[in-house]
Amino acid sequence: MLQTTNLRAEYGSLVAVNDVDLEIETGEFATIVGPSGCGKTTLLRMLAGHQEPTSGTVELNGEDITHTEPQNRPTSLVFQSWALFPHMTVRENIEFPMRNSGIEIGDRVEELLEQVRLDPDVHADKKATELSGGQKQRVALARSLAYDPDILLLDEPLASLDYVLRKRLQRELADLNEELGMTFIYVTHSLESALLMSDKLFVLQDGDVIQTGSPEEIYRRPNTKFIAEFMGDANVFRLDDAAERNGSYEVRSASFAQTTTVPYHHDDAEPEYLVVRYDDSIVDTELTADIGLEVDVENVLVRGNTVLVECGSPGTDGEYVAEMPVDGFRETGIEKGDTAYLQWGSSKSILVPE
Amino acid sequence: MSTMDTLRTRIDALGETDHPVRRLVTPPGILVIPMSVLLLCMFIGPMLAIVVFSFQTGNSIALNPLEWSIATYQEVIGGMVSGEGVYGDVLVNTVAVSITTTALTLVVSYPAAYALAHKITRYKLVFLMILIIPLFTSVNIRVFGWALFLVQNGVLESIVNLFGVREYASLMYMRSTIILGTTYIYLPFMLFPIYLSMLSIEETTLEAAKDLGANRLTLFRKILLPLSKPGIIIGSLFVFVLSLGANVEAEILGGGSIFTMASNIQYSFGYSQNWPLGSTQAVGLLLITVVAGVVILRTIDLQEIAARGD
Repeated sequence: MLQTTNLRAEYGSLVAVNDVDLEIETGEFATIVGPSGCGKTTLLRMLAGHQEPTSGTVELNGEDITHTEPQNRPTSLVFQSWALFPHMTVRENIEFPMRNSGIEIGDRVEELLEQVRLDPDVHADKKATELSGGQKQRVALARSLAYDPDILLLDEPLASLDYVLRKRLQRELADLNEELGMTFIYVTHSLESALLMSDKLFVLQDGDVIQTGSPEEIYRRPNTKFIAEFMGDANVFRLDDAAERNGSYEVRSASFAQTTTVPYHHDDAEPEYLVVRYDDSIVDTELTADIGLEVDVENVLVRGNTVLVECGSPGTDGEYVAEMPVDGFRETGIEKGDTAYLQWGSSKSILVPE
Repeated sequence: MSTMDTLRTRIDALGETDHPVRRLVTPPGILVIPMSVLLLCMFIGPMLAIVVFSFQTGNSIALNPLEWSIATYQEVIGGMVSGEGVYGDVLVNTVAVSITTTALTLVVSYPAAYALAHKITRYKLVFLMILIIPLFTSVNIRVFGWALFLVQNGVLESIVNLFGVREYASLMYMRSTIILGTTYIYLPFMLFPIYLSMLSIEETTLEAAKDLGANRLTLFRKILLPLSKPGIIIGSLFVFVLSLGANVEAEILGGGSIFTMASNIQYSFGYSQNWPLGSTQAVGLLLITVVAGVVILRTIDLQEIAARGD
């Protein structure tokens, strides 16, 4: 198990990582997710040993490795830029960590290349500079695995790849994690990667871990308005009144006419916002769902088999979006410039504190 | 493929294309005409003149009939072989000064270049300016400064006198004094190429090496050294070739008791007015320079280095 206690990094007066406690079980695929500048890369670099924490500790299976040099840590980092050695061939790159730690080479290079789905006969003797982005990514992964680390750290290595390749490699990474039983810690700003691959998510904002849990937990029960918005495209309504009723809250907002009762899961703060995801919202000419408001349809964007209907609330600066199946939207006959009702079922509402 | 091989293929390929003169007078060939003319007049012409002069007997050339003599070559090469005259010493001095200067500047520059490129962030500009500003000053002035410092009754003697040392042996007019001068003067020519090749090494490459278990020695041998090799080679080429031609340093700091080929060439052309002898030595120096350049450039592949950035 990897455990950090009050791990902190400061750059002058800026606190990049603020007393973070992580607990990651052996073999887990953990993802640290947050927007740019939230401190996630700094956190990962402290786990890898490339950055000295200002205070706090990192423990691996009970052993304190806070100040252990990177070359003596059983961790390996896959860099965002892959950092392949440009003067070496693919084979030499992969042999490098094995020579350093005295691992017998044998047929291991071929095995590793096959593991990351590269043909050894084609690629093993190419220069690192001759590879495409996706291939470099795979070699970087193979090279880190060659080190036989206890923990593989990944710093958004898929960020610069195209969509299709990224999708495929995400799935392969998840498979590899299962196959090897190795702990993976993945850092990303992309929600899509976080949801798809992880067993456990840590949401980081301004250096603080603001929520920990399985992807589903965090998606269903976001802790704050920030997480709710970050975890998926969502419409947010400020609440004007919230009264507790047996663990649920009866809430009202100036944005919509109805009063609704919604379950709420946080003990320490009152609900401040009602959140509903784009794809849980619909627009129609009549108000038929539990909650809704009158809106002007400002724009209709077709995105594959769904449409994004962008709406404005008349007389306010509220901007909302409904994501609907193309056919469902066509049936309503609504066009850009019409007035309609944005609406959703009561059960789709999520209440969050500030 | 080494740089020399590439150049050779290029030259071979040149013969097979369409007429070179036609290509030269059409764009973009026409754009390089002024520079080609300049090079022809300022470099190739005088070089040819020197080669021709080295085969003459006096300070004039009789074109009709053009006479050839290898007397000066016999004198210089014979002197070197038999050990008579100054030529053997001069050759040894020259090569010793160049090799030692190259080695010293390399040893001094390498760690500094690494630190400047990867470790030092504050005052980095100040460091670089300190290295660049001396280049704005004439070599003569800087070397005379050294002379004033080292000479008897000079600044250094006054300083050691302050500490009660009365016996001051002059540090001037020795081979090591010349080396001190060339090391100082040509230091930037070693430092900057290495610094630039260090800059092109990504910080993450070094981190990745450490991350993958490399200790300091491995990091240096397997990563830093091969990736900074182009800088070392180019820097060594610069410093070696420049110190082969070091004239001012030899003349002022050697003070007429230590000669290098460059200062001896000047002596032949100037004081002894023996142009053929000066020319012969110049041809010799040129040959040494060309051989050194070829040997050094053979070890790197500039095209491979250019491709690394992609």
